[in-house]
Amino acid sequence: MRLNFKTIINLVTIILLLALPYYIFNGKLFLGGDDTRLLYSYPFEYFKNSSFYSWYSVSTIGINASNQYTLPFLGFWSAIDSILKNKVILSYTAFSMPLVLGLIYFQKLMGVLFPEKKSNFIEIYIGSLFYVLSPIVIFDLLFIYLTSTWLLCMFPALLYYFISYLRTSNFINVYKALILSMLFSFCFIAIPWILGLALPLILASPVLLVFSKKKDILTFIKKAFIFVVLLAISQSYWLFAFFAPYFIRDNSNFVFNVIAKSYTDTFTPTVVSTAVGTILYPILGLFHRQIAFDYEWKLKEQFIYLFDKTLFLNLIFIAVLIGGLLLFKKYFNKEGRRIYTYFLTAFIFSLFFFTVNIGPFKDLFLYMGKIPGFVMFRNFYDKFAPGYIFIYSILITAGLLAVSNELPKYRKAINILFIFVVLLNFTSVKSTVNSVLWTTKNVYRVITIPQEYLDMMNFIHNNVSSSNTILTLPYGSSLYSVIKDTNSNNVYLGVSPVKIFSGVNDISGTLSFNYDPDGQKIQDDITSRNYKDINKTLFKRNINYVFVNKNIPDQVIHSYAFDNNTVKYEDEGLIKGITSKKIKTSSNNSYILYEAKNKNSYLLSKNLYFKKINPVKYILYFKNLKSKQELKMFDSYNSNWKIYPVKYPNMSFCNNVVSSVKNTKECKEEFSLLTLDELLYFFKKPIFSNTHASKDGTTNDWLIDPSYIKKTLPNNYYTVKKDGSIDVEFILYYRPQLYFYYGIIISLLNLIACTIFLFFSSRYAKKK
Amino acid sequence: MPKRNKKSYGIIFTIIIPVILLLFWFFASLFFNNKISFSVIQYSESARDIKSYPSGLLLKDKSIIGEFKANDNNLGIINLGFKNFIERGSGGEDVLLFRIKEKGQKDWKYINTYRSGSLDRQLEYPFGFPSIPDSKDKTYVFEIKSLYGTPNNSINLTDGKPTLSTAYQFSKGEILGSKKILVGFLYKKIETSFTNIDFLLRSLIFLAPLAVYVFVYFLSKLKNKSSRSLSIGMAIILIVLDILLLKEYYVGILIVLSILWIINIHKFKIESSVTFLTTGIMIMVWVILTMFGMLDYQGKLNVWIFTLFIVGAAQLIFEEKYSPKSEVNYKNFFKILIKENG
Repeated sequence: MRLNFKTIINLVTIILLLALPYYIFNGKLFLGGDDTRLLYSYPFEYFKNSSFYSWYSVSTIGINASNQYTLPFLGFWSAIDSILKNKVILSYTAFSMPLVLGLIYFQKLMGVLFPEKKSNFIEIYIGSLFYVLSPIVIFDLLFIYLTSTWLLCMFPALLYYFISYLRTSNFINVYKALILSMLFSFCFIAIPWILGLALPLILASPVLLVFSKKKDILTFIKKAFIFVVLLAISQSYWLFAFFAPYFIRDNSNFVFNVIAKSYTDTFTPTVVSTAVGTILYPILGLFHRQIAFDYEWKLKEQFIYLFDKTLFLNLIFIAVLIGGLLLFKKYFNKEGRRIYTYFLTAFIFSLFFFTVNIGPFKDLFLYMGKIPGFVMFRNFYDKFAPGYIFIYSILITAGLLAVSNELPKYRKAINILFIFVVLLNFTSVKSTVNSVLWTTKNVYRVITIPQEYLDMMNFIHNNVSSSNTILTLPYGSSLYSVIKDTNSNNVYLGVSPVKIFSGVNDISGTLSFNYDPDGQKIQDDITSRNYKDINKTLFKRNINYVFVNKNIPDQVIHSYAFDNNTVKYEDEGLIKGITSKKIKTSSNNSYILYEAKNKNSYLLSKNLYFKKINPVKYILYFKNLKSKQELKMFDSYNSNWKIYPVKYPNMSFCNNVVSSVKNTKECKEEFSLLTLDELLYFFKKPIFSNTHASKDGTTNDWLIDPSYIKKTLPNNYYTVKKDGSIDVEFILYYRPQLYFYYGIIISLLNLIACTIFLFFSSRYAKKK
Repeated sequence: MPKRNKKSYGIIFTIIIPVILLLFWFFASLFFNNKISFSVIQYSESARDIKSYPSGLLLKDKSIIGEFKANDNNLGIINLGFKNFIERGSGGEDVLLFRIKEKGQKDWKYINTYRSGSLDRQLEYPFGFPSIPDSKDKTYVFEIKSLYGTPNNSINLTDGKPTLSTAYQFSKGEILGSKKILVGFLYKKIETSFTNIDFLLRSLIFLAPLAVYVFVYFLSKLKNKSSRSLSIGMAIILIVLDILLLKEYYVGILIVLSILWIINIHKFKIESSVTFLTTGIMIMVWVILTMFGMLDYQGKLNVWIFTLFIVGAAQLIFEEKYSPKSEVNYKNFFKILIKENG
C-alpha cells in the first residue's frame, strides 16, 4: 500500500501525540483529582468497585448517583488492559486519545462542512492542530483531565456524523455515532460543557432557517430528530437513573443541584467576581488572562513567561480570522458561505458566553441567571471554553482556506508561521499539565503507585468486610487522600481511592460527608481532643477501621489538602483515643490499619443475620421475632431503600459469620453482580415502607412488626416457632438500581434494532 | 403637493418631531435614569473638599479624608469617583472603614465597613448611610480608612485624586408636600442633573431616537460623493473619540453610534467586509496597546469590537439572503475615505 502525503503527516502527528504523555509525565501515572483518573489505568478495579451501582460511596457517605456511564469504556479499556498489561502505556494512550481522535474527526468535519475545499488538506490539517493544541484546550481540559476532556473528540465526531447523515441519508453515520456515543458515554455527563457548545449553535440556528427552504428545514428536523433520539435512547442505561431522582424527589442529585436555591444564589456573585476578562485573549486563541492573575492560577506563569512575550505572534490568528471574513465570499460556494455565516454567528454567541464581561452584555448574562438551570454556567469561563475553541477553530480553518487561496505565493509562509505559533503556544503543555501541586513548592502530581500501598489495599480487600467504612487519617479538608510516589516526593492527591482498590469505602475528609455537619464536627473534635464525641460519630457512621497514612511529604501535609491546625492534633493521642487495636502495618511502616474503639455493624437489630450481596442488595434474616423491633441501617437516609419479604425463609445463605455486634451477626459476603429476579422488584410490593424514617438523616430506620407480617403475608413467608415467634427473611434493596437495568435493556434493544436496520438497509441499497 | 401642505410637512419634520424627541430625552432622563432615582438630588463637590489621600495604594491605617458643606437636607450618600479601576489584589480582601460626622462633633454619626472587593472595577462607589434630615449648610467630615491594606490587597488610587459628589434623598411626601416645594425640588433636580456631565452621558440612551432621526434626516439630504466619505469618516471618528475620551461605556452612546454606523451601511451600501476590516484594525491596535501596557482603552475596545462583530454578522446574513449590491467594500474603503475627502 502506498501512503500518500496526507496519511503520512497524520500518522506522524498521531505518533507524536501518543508520545506526548511520555514527554509530559516521564513514565509516571497522571492520577488524582475529582475523578481520580484511575479509570484509565485501573479500569477493572474501577468497574468492579465504583461504577456498577446507583448507591455510590467512593470516599463519601452513601449517596444516590448514576455512575454507570463509565461502564462501556471501562469494559473496553479492561479488555485492552488485559492485552497490554502495562498501566503506563494504558493510561498514556487514554491521555492521548481525545487529542488523536479530535485531530482526525476535526479534519473529517471540515471535509463535510466545506466539501469543495477538501483538497486543501494542509490548511485543514493546520486548523485541526489549532484546535487540539490550543492553550484553551491545555488549560481547560488537559490540565484537569476530567471526562469532559473527551468532548475534544466527541464534538467534531458527532457533528461530522450528523452532517454526513444530513448530506447522504446513509444510516451508517447514525450507527457509527451511536457506537461512539455508547463507548464514550462518560463524557455526556459533562452536560454543562456540552450545552456550552449546543447553546451558541442553537442560538445561531435561525441563520440557517433564513437561508433554507421549507422542504430543507423539514428534512433537517426529521433527520435531527432521528439522530438525537437514537443517540439519547442509546444512553438510557444511565440517563434513566440520572433523571429519575428528579421525579422521585431525591435531592442528592445533580438535577436538583442546578435548580436548588442555594446553588442559584451563587450565580451572580460568582459571575461578577470572575467576569473580568475581555474578548481579546480568546480571539488570540488564548485563555482569559485577567482571571488567571486575579486568582493566582498556574496559568498566570504561562502568561508571564510565554504568552505576554509572544502576544504579537498570535496576531496571525486575527489576521486569518479577519482575512477569512473579507475573502470567504470569493472562495466558498453558496452552501459553504452559508455554513460559514452560521458558524460566525455561533462564534459571536460563544465569544460572549465565554467572556461575559462585555459592557452592557454582562448584565444580559446576569439576567439569564434567572432561567432555571442556567446557574450551571456560573463558571462560564470553564463551561463554554471547549465549545468556544471548537467553533473558533472551524472559523479559523475556513479563514486559512480563504487566505491561502487569495495569496498563493505566500501560502507556504502563512502556513509555516501559523504552525509555528500553534506549536509555540503548545510548548506550555508540560509545565501546565505536569505542574507543581497547588500550594506546594516542588511536589508534582505524577506517580507510580507503590506496591506497599497496593499490598495494603489487598489486605483490606481480603480481611475487611465491604459493609464497613474506614476513616483515613490525616483527615483532609475535602475528600482527598494522598499516596506518595515510590521513589520521589511526588504524590497522588485526589478522591481517596481506597474503595476502588479494596472495595471498602473510606471517609477521608470533611467533604466525604456530603456537606453534613458531621464532617466539620470530626475536625473540630480532633482539635479539641474530644475523642468521646469522635467515637460517637464514627459509630453512628459505621466507621469501624482507621487507616493511617504516615508517608505524606511535609509540603503536602501543609498544602490546601489539609487543615494545618487539625493536622497538629492527629498524633498518637488521637490514634489511642479512637482505636482499639492495630491490625496491620505495611512492609515499610507507611500505612497502618487499626480497628475502631466502638465497632458497629452496617445493619443492626435483635437476632438479625445479614449478608451483603452487593452495594444495593442485602439478605436479612430475623430469628425469633416476637414483638415490634427496630432495624437500623447505618448509611445516609434514602427513602428508596426497600424491604422485600422472601418466601420460605431459611438461613442457608449464611455459612460463615464474620462479625457479631450486639445481637446482629454479619455473614461472609458473597458478591453477585445481579440476579434476574431483581428485575421484578419494581412490581413487587415492599414491606414496612410506612415505618421507614430517619432521626437525623444518618441512618435508615424501620420498625419490624411480626404481627403485621402474620396479618398481611401468606404463611410461606415466615416460619412460626413454638413460642409463637417467627423467623423471617427479607431482601433489602436499593430500588433506583432498577432504572439502570431497565435502561440497559432499552439501550441494547436500540442497538440491536439499529444493527438490524443497518443490515437490511445496506442490503437494500446494494440490490438497488 | 400643494405649497401650503409642503410647508406644513416641513414644519412637522424639521421642528415638531425633533422637539417631541427632545422632550422625550429631557423627561425620560429625569425619570428613568438608572443610576440616580428621581427622588435623589446629586451635587458635584469641589476636588478641594478631599483634604487628604495617599498617592497610590491605600495601605493599612492610611485614609482618605474629606470635608464638605451639605447643599441640602437629607444627605444620604457620598460618592467617591476614581480615575482608574480599583484593582483588588490577590492576598485576600482589605476592609475599608467608612465614617462620617458633623464638623466639630466628637462622635462619628455613622460607621460602617466595606470589603475592598465590592469596589473592584467600579469607577464610582456610593458610600450610603441613613439620611440626615437637617443637613443643609452644615459641614461634614468623612473618612475612609484601610484596616488591613497590604501591598497585595489594598485598593489602588494610582491615577490621582478621587472625585467627590454628595446625594440627598427626598421622600415622596416631602416632594409633594406643597406646590412651592415641588417646584423648588424640580428646579434643583433639573439644574443639578443637566449640569452633570455623567448624567448627560448616561441620558444619551434617551437621545437615541432623536439622534437616529437627525442622522436619517440629514443623510437623506446629502447627495454627492464627498458627503459619503464625510459621513462614514464622522462615524469612525466619533467611535474613536468615544474610545479615547470616555473610559466608562455609556449604553446610549453605544446605541447612537452603532445606529449611525448602520445608517451609513444602509445609505452608502457598505459591505460587511468594511465592518470586519474596521474590527480587525481595532483588534490590531488593541494588541499593540496591550503589548505596551496601555490598558486604559481595553474596556471600550472590548465593547466596540464585539458590537462591530455583531453588526458585521448581521450585515453578512442580510447579504447572503438578499445579495444586495454594494458600493463600498474592503478594497475601495480607504480610497473612498481619503480621495473623496479630497
